[in-house]
Amino acid sequence: MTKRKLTRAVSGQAMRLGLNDWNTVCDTVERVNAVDENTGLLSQNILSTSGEITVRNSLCQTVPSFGVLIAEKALHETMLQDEQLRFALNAGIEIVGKQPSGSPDDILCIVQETAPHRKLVRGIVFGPTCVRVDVTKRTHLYAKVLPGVIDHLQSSDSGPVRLIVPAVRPGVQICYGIIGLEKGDPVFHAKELFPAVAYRREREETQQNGSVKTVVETFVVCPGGRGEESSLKTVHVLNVEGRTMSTDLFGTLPVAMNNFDAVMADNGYGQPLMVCSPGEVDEGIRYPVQRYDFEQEQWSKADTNQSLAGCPAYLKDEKIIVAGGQSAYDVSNPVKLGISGTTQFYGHHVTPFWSIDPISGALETRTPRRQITCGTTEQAECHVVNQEKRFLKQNFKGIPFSRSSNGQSVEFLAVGGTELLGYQSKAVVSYTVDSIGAYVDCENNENRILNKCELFPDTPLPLGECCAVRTST
Amino acid sequence: MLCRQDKHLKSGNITLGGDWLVAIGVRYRNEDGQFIMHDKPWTLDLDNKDEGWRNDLLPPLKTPRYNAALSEVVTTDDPILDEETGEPTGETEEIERVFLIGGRNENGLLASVEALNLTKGVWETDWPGLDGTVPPQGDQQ
Repeated sequence: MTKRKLTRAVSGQAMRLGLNDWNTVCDTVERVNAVDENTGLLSQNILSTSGEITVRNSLCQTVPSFGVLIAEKALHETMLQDEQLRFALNAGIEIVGKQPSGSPDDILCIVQETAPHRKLVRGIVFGPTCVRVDVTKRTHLYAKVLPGVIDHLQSSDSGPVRLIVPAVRPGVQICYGIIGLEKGDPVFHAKELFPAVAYRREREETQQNGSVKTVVETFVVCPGGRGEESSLKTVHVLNVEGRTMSTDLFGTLPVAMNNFDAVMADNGYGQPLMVCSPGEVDEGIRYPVQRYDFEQEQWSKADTNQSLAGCPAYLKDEKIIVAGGQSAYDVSNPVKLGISGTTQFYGHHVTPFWSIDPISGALETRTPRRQITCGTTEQAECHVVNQEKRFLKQNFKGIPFSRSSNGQSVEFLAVGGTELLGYQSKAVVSYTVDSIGAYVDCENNENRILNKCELFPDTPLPLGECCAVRTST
Repeated sequence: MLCRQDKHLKSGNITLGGDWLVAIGVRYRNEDGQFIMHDKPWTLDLDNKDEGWRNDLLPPLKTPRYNAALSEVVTTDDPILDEETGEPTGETEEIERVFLIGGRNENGLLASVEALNLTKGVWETDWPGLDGTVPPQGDQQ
């Protein structure tokens, strides 16, 4: 928060009050009025603008006043959080509270009084409230939920609660906050680590002479991404014919996400569906597959436990195939793969290809886990296996290929890629998956079965975090 | 559209007839640990792979970047403008573009959008950015 210093005037001095100074005075008066002078807490006038529900503590522990509970289950058939909240407020229903999971889907409820086991108490789900916060840094302007913690929130650079009065000291204290003023996206944004998907539609337009003309509209749809400080929900849309950029045409992502890929698929009724593979999220332990149905004009999501950040996706046989990269190849912790006699083999389990069903959003492993043997000691040296380096790269660009030439077929090309295990890839690796589901890296096929794919030349230099496209005319 | 034999011309007036891979907007770390940006697109002729990758066919980006988004090839029917008046002639021509959007360079995050016009072999920098602003006209390469 930028501190503004106002200069005191002396008697007889000519004064001219600027706009910013006047607004600073207004903000100060508003904050003073917000605090009850007897209790030092937020006044009832301010609290009347809050969204209040009744919540029953389902935990065995007592939740202190201004502590944290989470609505136990979906309140409504919709998966969207704000719609569930509106339903709860309008219906005046009793909500069961549980421990926070830390998921962005958690419906945060700040209890307004001490809540023993099974006690029904008042809770605030949006708007102004007092809230118990562990302030770790006085410059923090937000508070976030800690998984499993019901006593307090933790101060942070972002989160679901905006702190409206700066903390005076570190440690756990009661702060004034507003739920629901999570740091959102500005209307327009510079951003990185997001996909761009082309979407084309036709609409009928009545001309001045009464005739009807079919107008083609082409959009480049750019969901999510990462801004300066956090992931974004914003969906930027470039209208190619109109040469305009907008952010309100195809809604916003249900969950802010970055470093994912997106593919246009079929919604099962012959209509286009944009499927976003699970990427990086700022908070929580779930990684959603997020889909936008252009016909229904609606986003939906299906949670998974697997981040596929840095993994390119492509469409094959009406399924979304996600090729393993940064998160799918979790090679940070070698595991013991097996024992032969007295020798222990170490290496990694990796899943080269994943599959998303566009209709349900369910994520499956397309191929069996592959075991990469790195060594036979506890200090396994994976990075000396040159051919495996070609395989283990991240943030590369995947090009669906699907062509057959000279009796050889290729499904997928991996171009570029940044270092994994200290390696930068110049390789253009062609992949295919045979009829029994086994993975084949053309240059690393143990059986030397090269009739299943073809080889492509390496790039002269590493291409790094590569953008690549296939152009065919 | 120019024909395949034109692809060996230098940048500025070429098209990529046939089947190509085009890699754009990348950086890598050299042996000294420094990050190097590729300002020129790399191309691979898939019908003649033995020729290898080259970066002298397409013009360089105005704003090199990484972590950007690249669209697939987008085809539109653009109105043909009268060369003298600049007014639409009523006719259209088919244009193929790929859009390079956002990303990051040494100055931070980018909102700008540049389009590689594959039909004319030029970069177009007069597209609105993610922030809705359009760069000054006449700034094309």
